[in-house]
Amino acid sequence: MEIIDAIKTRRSIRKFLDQAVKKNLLLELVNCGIWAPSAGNMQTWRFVIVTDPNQIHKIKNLSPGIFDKPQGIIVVCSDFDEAVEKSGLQGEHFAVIDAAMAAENILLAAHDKGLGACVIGSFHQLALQRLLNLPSNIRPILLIILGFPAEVPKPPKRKFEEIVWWETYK
Amino acid sequence: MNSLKEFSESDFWDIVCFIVTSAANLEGEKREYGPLRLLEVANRLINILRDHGLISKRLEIVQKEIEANKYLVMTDETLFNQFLQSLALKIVDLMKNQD
Repeated sequence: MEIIDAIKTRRSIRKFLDQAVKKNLLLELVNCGIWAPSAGNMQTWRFVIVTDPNQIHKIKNLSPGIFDKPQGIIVVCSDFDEAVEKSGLQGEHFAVIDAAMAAENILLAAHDKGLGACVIGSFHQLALQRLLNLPSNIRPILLIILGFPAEVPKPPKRKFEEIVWWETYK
Repeated sequence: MNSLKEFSESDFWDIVCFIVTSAANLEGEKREYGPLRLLEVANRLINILRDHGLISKRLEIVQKEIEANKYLVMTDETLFNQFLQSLALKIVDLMKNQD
């Protein structure tokens, strides 16, 4: 798939078929994630891949943004201690941005592989840290729920003319 | 009314988790997620009742409306709010039809 096609045809998929996703494929997606750029090459992202249905069910119970039963969840985390160590006070800020850039790579790679995926921000961060045994410096930033799409929604409108300026703002 | 299968704690555990984590998160979330979460609670309660043998045409209608329209919250807030109002009015019709 061409990159621009992938960008423009990717959708947030929230309903999935009852069809398992192979672990190797999930690893490949995460490998695409870590080829994203990161601030000062910090690479403070961390990933927890969850495929056990029981564990997915528990994550869902802590994540009001998950409505269906995904076949896998990639928990995109950041090591905030390492980020501050490498980039000072701005480290936490950049760690979040870097995690988001890795997440976008994962979303596009998933789309390329015929998977559906959706970024979930509505989860209880501290509860999820406890469930996944994450130390306090490893903070979950985003969840990526994955599976084979059961439905593909229409794209929301984009307001290109209203958000783009040349040279200066307005 | 149909006779229902016996309920167990696990039937309600998931929805209790959903309500608690929603309550904990909502203050920092998009305003429309409040109504979305409430709709989802209604949706999940209807699922529990159906899974235990309660067949209700009007609950089914409400659930279909919720499923068909809840994601408007992501794409068109105006339409989502219009849907909420129309669902509230539809409930009146469903009450009247039941009389």
